[in-house]
Amino acid sequence: MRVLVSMTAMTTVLLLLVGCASDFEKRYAEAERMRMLAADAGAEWLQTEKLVSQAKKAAARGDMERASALLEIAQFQAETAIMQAQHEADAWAGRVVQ
Amino acid sequence: MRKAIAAVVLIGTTLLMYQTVFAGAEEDRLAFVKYYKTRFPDIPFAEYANGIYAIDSDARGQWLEIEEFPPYEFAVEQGQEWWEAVFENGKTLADCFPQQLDEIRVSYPRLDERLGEVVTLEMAINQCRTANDQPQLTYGGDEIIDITAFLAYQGRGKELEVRVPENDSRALAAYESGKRFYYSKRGQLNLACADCHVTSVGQLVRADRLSASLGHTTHFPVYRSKLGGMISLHKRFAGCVRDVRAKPFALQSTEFRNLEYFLSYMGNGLKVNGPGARK
Ligand code: HEC
Repeated sequence: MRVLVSMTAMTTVLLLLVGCASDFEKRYAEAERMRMLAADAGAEWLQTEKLVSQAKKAAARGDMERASALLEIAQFQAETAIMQAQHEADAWAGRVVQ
Repeated sequence: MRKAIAAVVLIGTTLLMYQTVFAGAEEDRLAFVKYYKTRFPDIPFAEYANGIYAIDSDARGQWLEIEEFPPYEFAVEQGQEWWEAVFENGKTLADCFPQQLDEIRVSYPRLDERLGEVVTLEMAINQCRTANDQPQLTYGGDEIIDITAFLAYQGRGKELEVRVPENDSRALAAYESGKRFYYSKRGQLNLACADCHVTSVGQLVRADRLSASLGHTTHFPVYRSKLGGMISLHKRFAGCVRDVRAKPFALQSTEFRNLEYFLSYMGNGLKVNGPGARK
């Protein structure tokens, strides 16, 4: 009985880890996609690439909490940079010295 | 009625935007000069070639002292050696440039008819090397910076006379792209070049007073005492882009070449006084 319980527990933990990892892969790909879009718009921020790569390293170490937190910041930066570029598409013209 | 008003406002703003975006380069330049003239009525136009030392009289004394034993002299001497070095085919860099030695610096940046792109002095040097079967020099490396230091030194006293031919849509597009870059906010700090060098000109950012962008290109390359070495104009661009926490573009990227084209045009009429010395 004890063996059964501990095996179930182990399987659950394992499944959770695998689940996190594949969830991480998805979110990682999405953050990279957004970062690339920001770069295409000429609007990438300074640290975004580093954040994404640090997230990847943290995930490789199994530190999913840190990996997830880093990805979240990277994703936020990339999205904001894209919005910034969209806003600037018109806004810049209003600043030209007249 | 409301709709009619909205329509008029919309057409009005569209027209206004059209005008601001497509105002001629010369109109832009005159407005730029006038802006700084209004901000600093006592500073003569020619002084803007001296960057922050046109505005910051406290720092000026120190700078003039440094200029007595110019820290860029070594770069100029080295540059001359590179300039005169003979390629395997017996030619030198000089053979690629039809201009007089003192005219080369002010002949760039220019729109290259064949490429349809802005060509800077650095790029022209590398084009020459390619034409002579030499490997390209790394932008930002000593050799190419020293050569530009030598050519700037030779070109001292010549007025910037960048041309944006109005009948060349590629030139207009390059100019517009540089202008747009200059006025666009970017990075985590959400700042445009103009936010610092136009709106906040003369104010302190940490330990630095902000120079005018008028004349920003006359004195490059520059010896930075902080770094203990020479830097190119594009390296400076990259530094300022980094400072607003945006990812910098590569030296001699299209973005930075177009920016140089725009900023150089703004400085037309000012005299080349490079290489320069800065903190
Ligand atoms: C946060 C404010 C800030 C922003 C934004 C900024 N700069 Fe600067 N820049 C500085 C400071 C500070 C210096 C050093 C003091 C000086 O010479 O103005 C400087 C120096 C320079 C210089 C060298 C001036 C000289 O005489 O050697 C150039 C060229 C320049 N900036 C171009 C740019 C361009 C192009 C942009 C936009 C991409 C830009 N800067 C954005 C703060 C800023």
